[in-house]
Amino acid sequence: MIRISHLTLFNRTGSQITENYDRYVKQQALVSVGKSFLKASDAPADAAQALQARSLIGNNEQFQKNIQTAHGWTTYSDQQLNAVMTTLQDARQTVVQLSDDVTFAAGSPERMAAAEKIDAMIEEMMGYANGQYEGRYIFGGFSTDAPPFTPVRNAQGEITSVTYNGNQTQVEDIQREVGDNTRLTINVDGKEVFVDPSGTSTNEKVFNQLIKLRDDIRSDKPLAPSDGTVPPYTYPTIDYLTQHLTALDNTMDRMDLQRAELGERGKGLTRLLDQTRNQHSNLQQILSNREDLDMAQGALQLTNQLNLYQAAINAGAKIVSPTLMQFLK
Amino acid sequence: MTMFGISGGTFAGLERAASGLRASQAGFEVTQHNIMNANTEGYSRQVVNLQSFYPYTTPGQTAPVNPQQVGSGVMVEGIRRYREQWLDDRARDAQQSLGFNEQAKGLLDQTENLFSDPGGISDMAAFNPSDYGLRAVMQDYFNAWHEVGNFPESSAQREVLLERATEMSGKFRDMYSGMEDVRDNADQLVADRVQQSNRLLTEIAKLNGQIRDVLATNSHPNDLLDQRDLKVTELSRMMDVSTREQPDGSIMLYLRGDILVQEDRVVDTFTTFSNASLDDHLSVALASDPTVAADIRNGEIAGILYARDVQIKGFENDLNTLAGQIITQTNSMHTAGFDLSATAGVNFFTAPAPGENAAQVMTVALTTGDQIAASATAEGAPGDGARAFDHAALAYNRLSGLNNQSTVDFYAGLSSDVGVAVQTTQRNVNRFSKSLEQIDGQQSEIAGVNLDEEFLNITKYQRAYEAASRALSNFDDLLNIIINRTGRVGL
Repeated sequence: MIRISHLTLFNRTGSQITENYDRYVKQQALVSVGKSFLKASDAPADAAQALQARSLIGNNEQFQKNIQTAHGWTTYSDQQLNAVMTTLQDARQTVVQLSDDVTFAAGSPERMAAAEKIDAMIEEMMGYANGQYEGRYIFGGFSTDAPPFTPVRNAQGEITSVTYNGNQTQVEDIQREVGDNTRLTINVDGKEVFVDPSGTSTNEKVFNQLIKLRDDIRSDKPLAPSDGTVPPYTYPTIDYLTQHLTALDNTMDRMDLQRAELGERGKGLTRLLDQTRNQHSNLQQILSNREDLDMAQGALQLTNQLNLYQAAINAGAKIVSPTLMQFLK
Repeated sequence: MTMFGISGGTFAGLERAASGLRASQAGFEVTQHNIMNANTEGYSRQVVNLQSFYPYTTPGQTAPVNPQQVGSGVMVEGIRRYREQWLDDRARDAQQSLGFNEQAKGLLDQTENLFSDPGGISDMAAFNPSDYGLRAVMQDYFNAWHEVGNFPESSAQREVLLERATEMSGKFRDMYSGMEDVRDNADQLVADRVQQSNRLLTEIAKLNGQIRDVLATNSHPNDLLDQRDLKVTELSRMMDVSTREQPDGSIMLYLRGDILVQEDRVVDTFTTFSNASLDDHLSVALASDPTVAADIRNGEIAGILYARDVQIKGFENDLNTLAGQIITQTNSMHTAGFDLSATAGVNFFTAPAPGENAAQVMTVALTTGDQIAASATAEGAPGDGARAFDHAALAYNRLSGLNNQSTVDFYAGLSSDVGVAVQTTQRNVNRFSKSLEQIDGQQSEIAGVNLDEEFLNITKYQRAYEAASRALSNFDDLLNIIINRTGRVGL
C-alpha cells in the first residue's frame, strides 16, 4: 500500500500547477513575439544559425548599398562620357558644315563663328572633365577632392592647353566591395580620355583635338591632324578639315568602346543587385525558418497549454479540499 | 472472587485500567504532534509503540505462584519515528547535484542575458533586440567601414566609423565587465554559503551532543534526529560531505579526509581566501589549511565555483580572443594603410599591454576621422577606399586566430556555447529535481503525515480512552460493592 502524506499531496499538486503555468506563460510569450525561441538556451543551434543568418543579411544589405553607390558612379560616368560624345558630334557637325561650303575664306565671319563655337565646346568639355558625383571628381583617379583638369588660358582668356593634376599611376583603381571579397573597378581613366599628358601619344585626346581644331579654323593654317603628321599638301582647306573629321571619328569610336565597357559594368552591377536581393530574401527565409514560430501551431499549443493548466487547477482543487475531518464528528 | 487472588492486589484492576488511559493519552498526544507537524519540513511521523505490561506473575524465588499469568495492562514502550536512512542518503546525493546545477544555472542565466542577440528576446518590451547585442554592434562597425570605402573622402562617414568603433569597443568592455560582475556576484554567493555551512556545522555538533545525551537515558530523540537529518541535508546541498554514524548515536561529518564534526565538537570549519590564480576571486578553504582550495566537488559551492572559474571564465577568454583578433588584425591592416593626409596609418585600437584582457581594455586609439587609413597606398588618398574594404571584410573573412572562423561565426559559436551551458544546467536541474521529488515521495510514503490517517488514529485512541475509562468506572463499581455494601446484610 502506498501512503501519500498530505504535505506530498500539496507539494505535488503545487508543482504540477506551477509547471503547467510555466509552460503556458512561456508559450504565450512565444506566440506574442512570434518566435520559436526566446533565448539562446532554448535552442542553441537554431540561435547560432539565426545569428549567422542575421549577420549575412546585414552584410547583404550593405553590399546592396555598395552596389548602388558603385552603380551610381558608373552611371554618372557614362552620362558624362555621353555628353562628351554629344559635344564631339556637335564639333563634327560644325566641321562638316564648314567643309560643305569651301567658299568660307580664311578669316571669314563663318569660320570665326565656327571657331567661337568650338571654343565654347572646349569650355563645356572642361565642365564634363571636372564632373563631380556626390561631391567627388570622377575622372581624376584617387584624387577625388580637387578638379583633375586645369585650363591654361592666353591673354584673351581662351584655353590653350589643359593640364591633368589627377592621380598619375593608379587612375583606374577606384574599387567597391560588392560581395564577399569581390571588388569592381568603377571609374574611368580621365587622363586617357581628355588629355595626352606626355604629348607624344598618337591617340587624339579630346582637349588637344578641339583646341587644335579651333586654332586651325581660326588661324587659316593648314589643318593638320592632331598627331602632328604633316599633310602632303596645303590647299584646299577641305582636306584638312577631313583630317580633323577622321580624327574626331577615331576619338568617338574609342569613346564608344569605353562607354560600351562602362555600360557592361553598369549592367553587371544591375544583375549583381538583383542577385544580391534574391539572396536577401533567401536569407530572410532561412532566418524565418530558424527563429519564427509557426503561428497556427503555436496558437494551438497555447490553447492546449491553457487547457492543461486549467485541468491541473481543477484537479488540484478537487483533491486538496476533502479530508476525513469533514466527515468525522 | 478468584480475580483478586490471581491479580495480586485489590486495586490492581484500577492500575490496569489507568494504564489504558495513559496509553491512549500518549497515542493521542503523538497523533496531535503529528497533525501539528503535518507541514514541517523534514518531520517524520511518530507512532506510540504499545506493549502489554509485564504479566503477573513472573515466576521466581520470592514471587507468588499462581496457576496462570494475568495481564496487567498496557505500557508505552517508546515513541518511534518512521524514516528510511537510505532514502535520506539518496536524497542528499540528489540535493548536491541539484544545488550544483541550480547555482551554476543562476550565474549562467545572468551571463546569457549579456548576450541579448540571438533571436534574442530577453527584453520583450523592446522587441527586435537583435539591435542591442554585440553582433548588431559589430555589424554596424563593419558596415561603417564599407561606407568609408564607398565614400573615402567623406569626413562624415569617417566620424560615423569612429563612433561605431567606439560603440563596439564599449560593448566588448560592457560584456566583459558584465561577466566579471557575475563572477563577483558568485564570490558573494560563495561567501554566504561558507557562512551557512559553518552555522550548520555548529548546529549539527550541538544536536549530536543532545542526541547522545537523550539516547544515554534510553529514550528516543525523534525530533532531534529529524532536525539533525534536515541540517545534514541542508549541508549536503552546499557540498558533498559524508557522514558516519557513531555507536553513541552522534554522526561524524567529514569532507574527503577532513573531519568537520565529531561528537559535539566542530573540528574544522570553512573559510575563504582571495585566490591569485583565479583573478583574485574567492576560493573556499578549510580553516585548518586556509590558503589551499578545499576539494569540494558537488553541491551549491562547487556549482558556483564551476560556473565562475570554468564556464564563465571560458566565455571571457573567448570574448578576449575575439576582441584581441579584431584589434590585432585591424591594427596591422591600419598601419599598412594611409590616412586622409597620405600619412601612414597608426594603431586604430589601443594595443592591449601584455597580460591585459583585450575585451576589458578595448578602446579606439584614433581621435579624428581623418586619421582613418582608408587608402591602400600613399597615392590613394583621398579617393581610394580599398583598405577600408579590407577592414570591412573582417566581418566575413576566416581568421586563423579564430580557428578559421569569421568574427561573426566565432561570436555565434560563443553565444551558442553560452546557450548550451544554460540549457544543459537547466536540463540537469529538471532531472535532479524530478528525481529528488521522487525520492522525497518515497520517503514521505514512509515518513510523511497523512491527516486522514491521523484523524483515524485520534478516533482510535479516543475510543480506547473511553473504553478504558468505562473499565475504570466499572471496576470502581465493583470496589463500591466490596467496600460499601459487603457486611451490611440486614442494615
